Amino acid sequence: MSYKTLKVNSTAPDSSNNISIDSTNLLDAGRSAVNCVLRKTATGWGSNSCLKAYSGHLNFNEDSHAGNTAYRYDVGDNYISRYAGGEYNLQDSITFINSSGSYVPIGSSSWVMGYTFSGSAFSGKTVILKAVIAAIHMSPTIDYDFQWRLGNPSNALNTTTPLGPLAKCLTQYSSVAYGIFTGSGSDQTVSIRFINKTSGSIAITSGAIASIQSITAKIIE
Amino acid sequence: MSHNKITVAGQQPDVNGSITVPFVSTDEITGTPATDDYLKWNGTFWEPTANASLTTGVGHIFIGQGESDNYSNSPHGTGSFSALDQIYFYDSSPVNTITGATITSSSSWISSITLPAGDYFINAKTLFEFSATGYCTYSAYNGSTKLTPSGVVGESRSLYSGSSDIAMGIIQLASSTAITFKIDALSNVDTGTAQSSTPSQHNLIYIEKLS
Repeated sequence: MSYKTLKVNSTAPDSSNNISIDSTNLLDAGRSAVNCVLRKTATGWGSNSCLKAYSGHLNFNEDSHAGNTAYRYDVGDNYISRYAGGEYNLQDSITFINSSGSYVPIGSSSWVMGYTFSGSAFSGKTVILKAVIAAIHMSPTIDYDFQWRLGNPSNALNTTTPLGPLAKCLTQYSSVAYGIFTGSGSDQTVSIRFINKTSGSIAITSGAIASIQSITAKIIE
Repeated sequence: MSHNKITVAGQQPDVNGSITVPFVSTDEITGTPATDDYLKWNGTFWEPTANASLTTGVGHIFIGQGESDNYSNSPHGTGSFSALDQIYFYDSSPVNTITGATITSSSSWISSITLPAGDYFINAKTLFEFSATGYCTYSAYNGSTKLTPSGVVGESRSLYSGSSDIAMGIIQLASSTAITFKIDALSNVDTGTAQSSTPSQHNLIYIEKLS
């Protein structure tokens, strides 16, 4: 006479003839960490973290790049930053708009003046924008305000709408510009624009000053 | 002849030989779930969690409470500063809700943060005392690799044409990585002794877990 060895979910009886089955044996992904919740998956049950996690979509990350301080900004201009050399290391569902037209210091296919957020990727999503810009003060007393704006960067400032407060930049200090918007379902274009400026000149980024420039976008909701 | 009775998860067969095993056995659950509760693993048990409190926020690390401690007590000590010197951050009870992340410190002076693979939004700042008009730029590093744009402090920042004290950026890590903060460039940063409690009262690291 022979007996088959009984197993449940591949677990054989122990010396007390008990087959120990707990939820870990039943989960596809196991319960890997604190704050994981029991959740139905397509094929069984899994355990995923219930901590929120938001995606990053745009990031400038470069210490130094070429530029020419002969090119100066006026009030209403779009802030431009170099991208052709891979200065942005994150560009997810965002299309760069090349610097061109009346509201930039210089037209160039190597520099970006605006960012188009994909309507489908960002539909209903809230996006936080942050920027520290690196426009070069050509005189020690000049200061200026800049701001994230929603609208076509090829058009005049008054056709665009603010996405956050003004940020002030002095020779010795710069505020961080914050902006926020919610995806409408259609492509949306944002840019950073100069709102006010005292007398004197400010020029496009050049050389190591790029190391302080930070431009980011990420979904927060 | 007798046979041992098989049990599954401690449950014996009924009179028909059927063994009913719950999806989650009662000894795995702490407390009694109510209708619409979720089960959240707390490290030891499945814990019934109300729907309204299920979302536990964004995983993050927050270092910097404005506490006062002399920088000379940090691993930097009393000496002068040079480029690529590591910067230490003071916090006696840092917040860390990022699963798998660890903070390395000694006497509440934090030297590094190890983050598991993933994307993170880094924000960091500090403040230094200067022996004369000067500046200090700093950023996040992995070894000798710079990870973020620089924050700048000091009264002579014109070299950087106006700048923020926040070093911030999004980083993408393919594997577990130790993050430190280092000086990129400097001028007239005073000694560790002369820093007194200025850095500890102003330092901040805020790391947000992204995808």
